[in-house]
Amino acid sequence: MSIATAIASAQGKVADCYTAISNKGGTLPATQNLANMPTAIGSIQTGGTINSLTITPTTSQQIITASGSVDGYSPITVNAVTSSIDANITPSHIKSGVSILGVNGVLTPLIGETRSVSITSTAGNTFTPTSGNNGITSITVTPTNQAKTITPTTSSQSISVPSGYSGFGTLTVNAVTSSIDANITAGNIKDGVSILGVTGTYSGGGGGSSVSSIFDSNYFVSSNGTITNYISFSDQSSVIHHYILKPFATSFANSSTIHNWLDETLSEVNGSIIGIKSITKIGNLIKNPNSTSLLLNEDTSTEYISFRALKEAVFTTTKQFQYLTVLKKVDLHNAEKIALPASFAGLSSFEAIDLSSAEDLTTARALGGTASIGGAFAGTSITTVSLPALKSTSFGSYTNQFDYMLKNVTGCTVHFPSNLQSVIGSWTSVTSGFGGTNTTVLFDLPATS
Amino acid sequence: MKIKTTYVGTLNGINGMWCGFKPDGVIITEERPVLYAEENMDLIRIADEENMGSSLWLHNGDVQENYREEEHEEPEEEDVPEV
Repeated sequence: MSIATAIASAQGKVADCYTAISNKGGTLPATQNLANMPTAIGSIQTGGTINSLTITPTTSQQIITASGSVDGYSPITVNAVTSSIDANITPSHIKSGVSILGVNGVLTPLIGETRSVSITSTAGNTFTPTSGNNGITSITVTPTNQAKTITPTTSSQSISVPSGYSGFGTLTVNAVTSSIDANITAGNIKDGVSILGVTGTYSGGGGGSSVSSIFDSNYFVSSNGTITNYISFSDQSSVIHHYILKPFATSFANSSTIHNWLDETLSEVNGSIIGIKSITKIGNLIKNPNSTSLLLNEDTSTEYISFRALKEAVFTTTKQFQYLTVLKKVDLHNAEKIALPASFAGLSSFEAIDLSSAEDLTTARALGGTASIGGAFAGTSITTVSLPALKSTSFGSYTNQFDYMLKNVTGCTVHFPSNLQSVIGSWTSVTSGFGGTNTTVLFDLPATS
Repeated sequence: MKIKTTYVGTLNGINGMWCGFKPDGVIITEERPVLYAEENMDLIRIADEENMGSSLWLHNGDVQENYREEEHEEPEEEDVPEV
C-alpha cells in the first residue's frame, strides 16, 4: 500500500470516529482531525441519575419506568412473596397437611350427615354428629304438639305443656257464656239489658217479694193472683217498702184529683215511689195546698224517686219534698216542662237530678225561689246540674228562673248548651253563681235551636 | 259583706263563668264584681228593704254601699210569686 493510500485510509477512520462521537452526543469541532478528537470524545455525556429500587410483589403486574430526574434503577431488589399476599392464606383455609407460602393448613374435610329428629319436650335439645361423621349438613326437626281446649272460668288459668309434648298445636278457647256465673239470669238483669246473651226482665225496686207479672197493661198481678193498680215489695235489706204506681188514669187534671186517688188507693203508704210510669202530668203531688205531706209524710227512708214517664212536673208551692229528709236523687229525665221552685231546698243529702229533657222553663222561678228560702237546690249537696235541652225560647218573658237556685251550695257546676250564653249570660242570677259559692257555669253542651 | 269577682272567659276552648275563683289557664274576657253576704246572712237593699239573697252582681252603677246584711231567717214554705 502506498503512503497516500494509507493516509486516505487513516483519514477515513478519523471520520468514522467523529461519526461515532456525534452518535454518542458529543460535540464535533470545526476541524475534525486527530488533534481535536480527544476533546470531541470528552464532550460525550456519560452515566445519568441511577437509583436503587425495591419491589414488593402483589397480585397485580407492576411496570416501573424511570422518569423525571431518574434515569434508571440499580440495584433492583424484588422481595420474596409471602403468605401476606392474600389474606385468605390462613391455616383454617388450607387443608391439613398442606403448606402454602409457609402456612400450614389445619382444615379437616367435612364428613356430614342428614338427620331427622322429633322433639318431645319443651326443654332445649342438642344434636351431635353420629360416629364417623364430623358434621350435620341437614336436620329435620319435628315438634310434638298437643291440641288443647280451654274453658274460661272466673279465675285465671295457667296451662302447662304436658310431658311428652313440645308445645301446643291448635289451642281452642271456648266462648264465655252466661254459665260462667249462676246469677246471670233474666230475673237478675235490668229489663231490656242483655248480659252474655241473657236478656233481663227485672224492672227495678227490691227483690224480697215474688211477683208473677209486672207492668202488665194497666195492672199488676201478684204471685197470689191479686190484681191491683199498684204493687208493693221489700228491697233486699227488708227495710224499705217500694211502690210502683201504674194507675189506669193516664193523667190527673189537678192536684185534688190525684190527692183523692192516692187517698183511696194508698192511704197506708209509707215508703218510696220508685216508678210512676203512665201519668204524664203532676201537680202538687207530695203536698197539697194545705201544706200537708200527703204521700210521704215524714219519710226518713226514701233516697230515690223516679218519675220515668212524667212529661210535666210543675209545682206552684215551694219545698214539695221537704219531708224526705234523706232523699238523694230524683229522675225526671222525660219531663219537658218543669217548675221546681225551692223543691229540694234544705235537703242536705240531695245530690243529683236528671233534667235531660227540660226545655220549658216558662214558669216564674222554675228552678229558682225566693231570697229567704232559696231556689230548687238551695242548701243541698248537689255538685252538677245539667240542662241539655234548654233553648233560647225556653224562658218566655221571665229572667228569674234561676234566682237563688244554688243558695248555700258550694262548688257546683252548671252546664248549659253553648248557644245559651248570649241569652242568659247577662242575667244577675247567672253572674252571681245562682247564689252559691264557687259556682262554675259552663256553656259546653251541644247547641240547641 | 265582701266583693268577689266572677270571671267570664274561656278554658280549654269552653266558654264559661267562674264565680269567685279563677282556674289556672282560663282566658278572661270580662270581670264582674259580685257582692256576697257573710255566712248565714242575707243582703238587704237599703232603699226598699228587699231581701236580695246571699249574692248579687254589682253593675249599672250599683255599689256595695246600697246594701246591708241581715241574719238569715228560714221562713215557712210559701207560694212562689209570679215575678
